[in-house]
Amino acid sequence: MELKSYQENKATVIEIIGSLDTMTAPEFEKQVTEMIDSGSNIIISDCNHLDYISSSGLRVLLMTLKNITNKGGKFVLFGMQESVFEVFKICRFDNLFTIVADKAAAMQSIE
Amino acid sequence: MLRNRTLRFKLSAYILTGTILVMTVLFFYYYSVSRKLILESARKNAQHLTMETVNSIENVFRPSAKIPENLAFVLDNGIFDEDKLHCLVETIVKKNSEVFGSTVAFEPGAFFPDQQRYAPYYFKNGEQVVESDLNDPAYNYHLQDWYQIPKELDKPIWSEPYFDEGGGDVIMATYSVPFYWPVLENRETEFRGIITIDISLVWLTQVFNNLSIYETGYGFLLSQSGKYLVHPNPDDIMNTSIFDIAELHRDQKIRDLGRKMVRGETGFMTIVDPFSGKEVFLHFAPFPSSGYSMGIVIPVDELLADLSHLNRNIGIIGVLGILALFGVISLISGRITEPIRRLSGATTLIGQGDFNAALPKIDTNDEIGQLMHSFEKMQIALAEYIENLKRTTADKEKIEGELRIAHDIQMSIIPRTFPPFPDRSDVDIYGILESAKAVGGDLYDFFLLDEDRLGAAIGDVSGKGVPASLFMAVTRTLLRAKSMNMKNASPGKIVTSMDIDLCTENDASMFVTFFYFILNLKTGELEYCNAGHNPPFVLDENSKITALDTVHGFPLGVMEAEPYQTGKIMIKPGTRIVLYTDGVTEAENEARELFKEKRLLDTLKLMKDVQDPKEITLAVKSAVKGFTLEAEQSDDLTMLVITYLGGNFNQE
Repeated sequence: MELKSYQENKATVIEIIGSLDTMTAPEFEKQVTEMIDSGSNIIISDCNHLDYISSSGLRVLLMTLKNITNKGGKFVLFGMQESVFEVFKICRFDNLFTIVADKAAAMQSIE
Repeated sequence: MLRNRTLRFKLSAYILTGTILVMTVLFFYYYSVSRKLILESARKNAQHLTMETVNSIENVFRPSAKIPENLAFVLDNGIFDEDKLHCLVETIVKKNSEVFGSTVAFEPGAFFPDQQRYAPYYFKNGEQVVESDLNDPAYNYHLQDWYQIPKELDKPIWSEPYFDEGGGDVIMATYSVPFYWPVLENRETEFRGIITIDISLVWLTQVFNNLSIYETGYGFLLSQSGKYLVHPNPDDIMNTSIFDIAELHRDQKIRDLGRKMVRGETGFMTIVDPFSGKEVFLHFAPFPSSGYSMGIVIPVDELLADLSHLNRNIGIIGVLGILALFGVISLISGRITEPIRRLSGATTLIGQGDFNAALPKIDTNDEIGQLMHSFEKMQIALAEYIENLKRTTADKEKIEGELRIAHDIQMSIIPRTFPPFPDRSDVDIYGILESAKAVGGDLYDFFLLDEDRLGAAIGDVSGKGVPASLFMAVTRTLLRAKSMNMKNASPGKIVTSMDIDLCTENDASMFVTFFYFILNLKTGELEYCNAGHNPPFVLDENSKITALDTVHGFPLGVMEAEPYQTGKIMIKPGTRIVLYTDGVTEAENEARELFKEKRLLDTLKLMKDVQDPKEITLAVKSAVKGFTLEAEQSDDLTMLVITYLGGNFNQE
């Protein structure tokens, strides 16, 4: 897994490339926690290149969501592949997270 | 060739080879220069010796030659009477020790007009000087060489030496000088006769014998025609000429030498001496007065004897020196390499695992000393590293041991005895739980709530390892506790209650997907609640496969939300319920492909008529293993299959 992050307007955009699973989840958790601790409380996750997510991956996303929500921020996912979205749907996480089609929609959702 | 030799051997070999090379070059240079110098000096010495000898002999010949020349001068100028002539010739023989005999031989009618031959001859006979007349018609001195040759050549001449048998029994040579009387009418002179003296050549041999030329060097003397006059071999004297020797030995060089000597040349030659067979240097020079030629012969080996001697000594010193050098090099290289050899021994011990092997003590600070210090550091670092490794390994083993125990405990809290209810014919159950790590986060459970109702659950905790296993243990404990406390509660109520407990103080945001159902074994009523778990499959009595795909809410522990609902279906005997976790559908092969629900369904289709839950479970398991092959198991693999056989079967 690889994370690319950049600032766009007031949001921090994180591009997740590869798999988010047991092996890579701790690295994701570490980097995103650092971002949140350094003040970014609006995070948009670009999931176009997220190929696979396991329950560990779901857990770190859930944790990120809880963290940001506690700080009054927003966490939005967009561009999710069908197979990944299936996993979200199984455990109803599609109801928990804000998941939108593309970046424009994501930008709109944080306004 | 040297590759496998010791350092000491190589060092010695290189240095000695170099030294021997230098010494050899020096030796040969010195030898060739010395030889050249010696030969040059020998040539000069030989030249001097030859000239000296020539001069000393000439000093005898020349005064002797003056005697008849003076007499000729006297006779040229006047006519003597017979008595006076006799007296003159007798006095010459008497007064000159080297003169053996003398005569004045006249042309026919030159002394007495009527006399054909007139030649008074005086010679030494013992102590006496006696007179003889050569006026013998049979002898006819006018035809003798000593008379005719100088007459014809019109100049004085030394005869070939000859052996005088009648007179002194010695080798002699005759010097003949022509004399003339003036013819007054036309102021010219007219040949009148020959004056001779006979000289013994015995003293020549004496002169040559006195020459001291190295050990066996010698001098020799040749006549005008190349005949040996003086030679160490007495048989050759007067009998043999140098050309005879050249002919005998077929030696062109000797022939050339003979020609040069007879021609009166001076020179230096190297030849093989036919008499000794040795290589010799030879210097030769002529006697200007007589036309004789002498040679000095020096054997090369004697000439170079000193040099050879010197060479032998140098050779011995060289060999001894090289042996000594070898000893010194051996000693030094041994001392240099000794620590290395000791170090090598110590490092071998270290290599075998003895990290405390003592390194040799080196107190120098050269390369060897530095090497030793490096080794010391390496040894210490190695020992520390191994110590750390031991400790780490021990720690790891301890952790692994503890994890094994944790795994055993985890396994012990899920039912693993199959068939679980051997005395019941209305239900059969089989389950597997294979952790990807020592401990996992998957769980299943089943139990009888009462005589007719079976409770069964499957769950998957997010993440793996110890935290997941703890969360799993809590979940399972909660399930048992809630089920026992609320025996008549619906699955939705139980799950809602569990969720509330699990959400409390869940800082790690852990959650568990959970499916729980209660089956009334008497009626076939199945109530279930799905908290974000993979929908189970139902294989009904007609082999039809459906997914129980209603999901009632988030996984447990995510957040407290609406209470979970309960779903309800009726099943008939022969129905099989297949519960699984995503360890089955998301099993990964080496190409990173997932097993997927489709493959699970395909496998179940093959099993659609099979009742035995164990057979179904193992079929799915082997399908997964056949798919992943060598790939490392990425997630816990958990399945629970319940076959509902129904009360009716029991009664039949």
